[in-house]
Amino acid sequence: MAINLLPKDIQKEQEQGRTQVIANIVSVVFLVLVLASLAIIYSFRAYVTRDYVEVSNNLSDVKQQVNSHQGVEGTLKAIHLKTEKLTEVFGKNYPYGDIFETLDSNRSQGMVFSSISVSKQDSISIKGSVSSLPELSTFMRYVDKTAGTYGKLELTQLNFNEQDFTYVFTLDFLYVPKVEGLGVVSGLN
Amino acid sequence: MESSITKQLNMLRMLVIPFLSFFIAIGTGWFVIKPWISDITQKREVITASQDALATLITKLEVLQTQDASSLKDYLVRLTLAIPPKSSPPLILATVEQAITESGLVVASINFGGVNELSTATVSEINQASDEVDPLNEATVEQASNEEVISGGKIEVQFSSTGEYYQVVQFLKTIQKVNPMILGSDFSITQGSSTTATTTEDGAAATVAGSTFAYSGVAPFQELPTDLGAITTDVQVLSKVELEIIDALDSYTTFFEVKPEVEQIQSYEKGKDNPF
Repeated sequence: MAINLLPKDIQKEQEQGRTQVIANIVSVVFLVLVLASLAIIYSFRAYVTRDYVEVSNNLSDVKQQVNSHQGVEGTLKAIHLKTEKLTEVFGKNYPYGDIFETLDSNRSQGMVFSSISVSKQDSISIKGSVSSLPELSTFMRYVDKTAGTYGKLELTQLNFNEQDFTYVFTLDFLYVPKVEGLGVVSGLN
Repeated sequence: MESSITKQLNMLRMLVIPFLSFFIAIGTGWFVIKPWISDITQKREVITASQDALATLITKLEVLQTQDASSLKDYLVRLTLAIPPKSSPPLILATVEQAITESGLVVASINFGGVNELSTATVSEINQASDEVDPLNEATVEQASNEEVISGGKIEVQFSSTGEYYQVVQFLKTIQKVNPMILGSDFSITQGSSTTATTTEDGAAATVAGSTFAYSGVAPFQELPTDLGAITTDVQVLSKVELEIIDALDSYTTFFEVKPEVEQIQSYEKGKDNPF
């Protein structure tokens, strides 16, 4: 180990000088690092800004093109809306012409309908008279066997009319719509 | 004393460069780097969102470009004939009257039952004035009282007529396949409750017992969309089912062809912000 023969105060000054050099070097290096990161961030920002402008321009172009087709878009949306509504309407558009026709064709000669009414769209009530109970039974069997088309069949009234020897009846039942494909099908025979 | 001051000055001189560097670094970081990083973050977020929007818009544009505007217009015309965009009581009444006439029934009365814009009408409301309610059927009636015939706007129509059973059947078949669409909610046919004047083979006047037919129905209507929504809102091509629905309308009869109001959708100039 070398012996330092310099006076103590000079030795101290030398030591302070070395410390200052190291502090300065560290400071400068730190500053250079800060400036280097500044440069890197600046470059990255420029790159991101370029991307941003490019994407914004593209978006603006495509928006303009989409706007030019607003008429078609409006029509398409209107069609979607209308077809959705029509699906609902088709599902409620019951074939009562066919229903009335088949009910009439399935009654016997001795059976007379005095009234047929439909309420709440699907509740059917038939009032009439029949010359014999087996005929009424046959008709009720027809309604009953057409399961899936009619339901909840009830004979709510049955009286014997002594004047013309007929049975006066009231039949209540529900029409159960069969939905196939686009709408209600009669499913009757 | 002098030595002490010199020492302190030397000490300060030593700290100048480190302090200067430190303050420059802090200043640069706070006033330059931080705002730049914030700017970069914001722009990257916008870029990501824009790229998503761009992908959606390109898909939308491809869909729109493949559509045939004239076919779409034709479809919409057919659909608006079935479900009119606005309530038009005269059209509905005229259509019902025409269906009655074509089926051979004789109109006794025909009434416009009002317009329900907010779909508040229920079947029970329509039929409030109906005759007797079978006690055995009350449960069913109560259950159905809150059910609507159809949701949305609707026009109510009622009529009574006289005729034969087969004519009523014919009417019901006609009204089921007519534009604009009319849904029967409550109706009844009462046999022998009316008399129709006729002439016998020997020329004598006679009356024949006919049937009374009372009918209550609703005709739905629906406005065209007034808002396209956000530009990035997805748009779908017409599905097979939708095309089948439109084709099914071919079998429907239109007695009175009113010029639909779909022209305005198509006639907008290109590039306008919103045609509605």
